[in-house]
Amino acid sequence: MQSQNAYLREWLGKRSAHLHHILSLEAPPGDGLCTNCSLNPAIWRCLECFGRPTHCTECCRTQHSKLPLHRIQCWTGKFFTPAWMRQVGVVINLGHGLDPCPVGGAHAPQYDQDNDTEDLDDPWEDKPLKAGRTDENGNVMFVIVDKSGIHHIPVRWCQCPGCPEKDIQLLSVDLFPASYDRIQTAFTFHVLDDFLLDNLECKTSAYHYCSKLARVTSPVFPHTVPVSLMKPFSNHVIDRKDRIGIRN
Amino acid sequence: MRLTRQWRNLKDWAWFGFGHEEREPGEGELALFCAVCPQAGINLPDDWLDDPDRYG
Repeated sequence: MQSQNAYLREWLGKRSAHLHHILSLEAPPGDGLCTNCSLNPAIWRCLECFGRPTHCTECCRTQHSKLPLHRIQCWTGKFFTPAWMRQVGVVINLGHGLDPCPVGGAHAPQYDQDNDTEDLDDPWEDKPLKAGRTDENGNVMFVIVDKSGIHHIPVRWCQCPGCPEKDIQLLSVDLFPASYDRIQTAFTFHVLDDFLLDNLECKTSAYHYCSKLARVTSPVFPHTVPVSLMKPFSNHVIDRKDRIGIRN
Repeated sequence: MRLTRQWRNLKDWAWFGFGHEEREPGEGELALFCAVCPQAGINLPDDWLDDPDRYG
């Protein structure tokens, strides 16, 4: 078996080529057309779909209607800048397997192609994006805390007669509501479980885990991410530990 | 562990602009300038080398 040093020496000869190739991945691939429809220019790149495919707005929205918490980037003409699914027009539809509720049909998202990159400047400053406000289709804007960062995304409730309570609708898609009266914040089961694992194996405190989430959300400006998460986060973790039978 | 060190090194090269250069980084070229550290000609007296207390 090779020693670690031997592996490193072997790598040194390849370092420049690797770096060059990694940097070349920062440009839009190939002809710059959507990898799905090959018709429109690809301006969105999904960082979480395997192979980081680039899509046009329409394809990005349809491909992610059931993957609304993927992190994306937008091509500005010179580089890819961080962006969010809400800018593509993705809405979380509750109650029908993530398809739009037929009762709320009047509020179906009408996405305006011209507004593609409108709110790219500062996603935290834009008024309609604050939690509790509604988007242009009347859907309530949610803060959803996931392992992939803190998302602001519209949620469309199921409004069928006899539909479950809002908190139950959220639980059905693995979202844990942070309150019950006017729900505007939810945590994914994924992030709560990930914290328990980090807490168990890495001894991460809730405070430090929240710092990490802020850093994941905005690597350069983590302080611009709302930090009032700490309290609901700790309470959630206690709830979840109770629920899955962990006591410390 | 070895791969994390390789990855960190690749990132350093990219951040310091060696991704598009033919040459390899020289001494100090993968370090940030520290405005607080003593820098000759900037925040040190000209005769600092002759100061008997320079290690004090």
